[in-house]
Amino acid sequence: MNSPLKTLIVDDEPAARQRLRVLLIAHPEIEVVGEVGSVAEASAFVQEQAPQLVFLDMEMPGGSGLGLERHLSKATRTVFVTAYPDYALKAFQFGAVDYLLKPVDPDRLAIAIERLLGGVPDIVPPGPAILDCMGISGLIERIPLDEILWIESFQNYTRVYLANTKKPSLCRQTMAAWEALLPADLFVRTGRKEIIHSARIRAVRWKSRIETLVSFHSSTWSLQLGRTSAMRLKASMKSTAAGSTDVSGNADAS
Amino acid sequence: MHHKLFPAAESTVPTSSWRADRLTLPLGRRAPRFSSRVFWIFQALFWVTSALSLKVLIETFTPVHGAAPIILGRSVTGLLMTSLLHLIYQSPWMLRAKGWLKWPSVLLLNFGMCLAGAVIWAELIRHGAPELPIANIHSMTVARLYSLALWNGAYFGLSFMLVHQALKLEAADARLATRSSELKQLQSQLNPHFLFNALTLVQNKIDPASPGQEVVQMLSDYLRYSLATSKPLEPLGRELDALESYLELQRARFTDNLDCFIEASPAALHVLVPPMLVQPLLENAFKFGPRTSAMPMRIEVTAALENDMLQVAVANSGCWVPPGSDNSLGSGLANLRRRLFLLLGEAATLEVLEKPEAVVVIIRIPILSQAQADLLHSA
Repeated sequence: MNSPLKTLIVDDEPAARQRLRVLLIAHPEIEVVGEVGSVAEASAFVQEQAPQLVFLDMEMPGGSGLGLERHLSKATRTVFVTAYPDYALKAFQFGAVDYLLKPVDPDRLAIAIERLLGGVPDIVPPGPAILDCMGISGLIERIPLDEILWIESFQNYTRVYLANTKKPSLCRQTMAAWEALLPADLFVRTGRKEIIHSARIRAVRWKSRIETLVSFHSSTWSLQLGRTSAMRLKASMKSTAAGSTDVSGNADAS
Repeated sequence: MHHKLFPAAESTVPTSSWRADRLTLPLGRRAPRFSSRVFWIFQALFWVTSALSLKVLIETFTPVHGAAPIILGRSVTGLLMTSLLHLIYQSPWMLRAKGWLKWPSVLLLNFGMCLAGAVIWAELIRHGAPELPIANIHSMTVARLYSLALWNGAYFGLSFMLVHQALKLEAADARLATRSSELKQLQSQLNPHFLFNALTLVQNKIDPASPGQEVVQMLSDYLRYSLATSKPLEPLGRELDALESYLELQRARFTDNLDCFIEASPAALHVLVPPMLVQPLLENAFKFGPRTSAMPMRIEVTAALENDMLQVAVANSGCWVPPGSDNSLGSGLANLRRRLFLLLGEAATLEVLEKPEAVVVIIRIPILSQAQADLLHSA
């Protein structure tokens, strides 16, 4: 990333502003340039400074955060931060990038920022049914896309886990190369280490805050995920539900 | 000039009356006790039966020719008379009349009807109607008295039953309204805005690297789910997310004495279910498990689709504690059963299985589309 995003925090509660400011220290891509406590102050600030990003509370004395919409330029992006899960739908109609619940969870905030910086590709090109991958020995291996359970990084290589096999295949392709190759509607990159074939998932077993196991159809392999990876996987599972609005994390459009 | 110190006190008057309105609204919404549909079905049944039994009686004891028009005529006049009686009985005056006034009036009305019938019949005979042995004024009037007595008995019996049923429903409605208003009150005591800002304050006060941060975070996540104003049906995934936090908090309590997991298939997460479906079962497990189970206590929650139904199973190590013994009230499961029945009907089931060292509760729920759920919501 180039220069950090100039960011404004709008919340009437000093404690909530402090929490967000402290958590954002871990994200050098974000630079907090201002903090205000009401929509009126925010609109004045926006006209003067034109921040690129606003963290916006919904419920504030003197007017809802939604009232700021007409003061914001199109280039400014918004992340809502609120105590109420019920406003999710309104927030997305507003055009918000994400919707966070108070008290803000650091891992959930990281996902929101990732979403903000990376963006999600809108159109998914159909992928090929069979992929060629460069094996460790230099031979080309043909891998049926359907059979892939997940791909994980392994030193400078990647390991491909296939259904009905006893050993993962080792490939020279990098994670980034795989990510570019695989159709994004079927495969979800849940973290630095793994890309998962979501249609193949049989069940997700949550064991503790730091341990989630994913099992797959017609396979005895299972994959262990950490907390943020599990959160990303769940967010993607929610967004694939027919007719539901993706809110991800712990919030629901209800 | 006199200033009011507490102008807000005035506003309590409209508030309380508004609350009273909301409480009484469902009661007034009941259908009329004796709807016209029910009445006409009752009339048709009564007079067809009466005509048929009259026919059989005449054919058995005094077979005569030309009885058919008389039977028909009597049934039709009976129908008309009793319909008139119904109109009078349902008139506001009669409905409001006290018993000592009402019952003599009923008696008087019926005798009056019989008398009028006898007079009309006498007039008909005078103008040339044949006087058959079964159709003389005396026997006709006695028969009419009998049939009216029978009709009144059936009519008031039925209306008593309907009123009784409506009262029972109203009482249930009233209980429900009280219950939901109590819940609302509890929720408003814990205003979410206040609560979550307070929890943020706590997080600000403790060291960012402290494990306390996570405890507060999980507590917030769980409270958010349990305090949120919820719809009658929500995706199961929402509750399971909250239960992860709940179990994590319990793990902090039990340390190494708890071994638990939640497992769900991706499709099961989207099924619409009543909120707080699994939590009461977990609460039961944590209530009875520690007393009846070997340590570490095991708790397993699994959710998957099976035969087009959602199947949620909560298994815990330990033994089943029957309701009524050892401070088990059995109210948790009973409440859950009733809630399932009220929301989803008989298609949803709850079953308790006793295994040698474990108890398994299995809930099966039909899979509803969003449209069906919305319909349920509006009903």
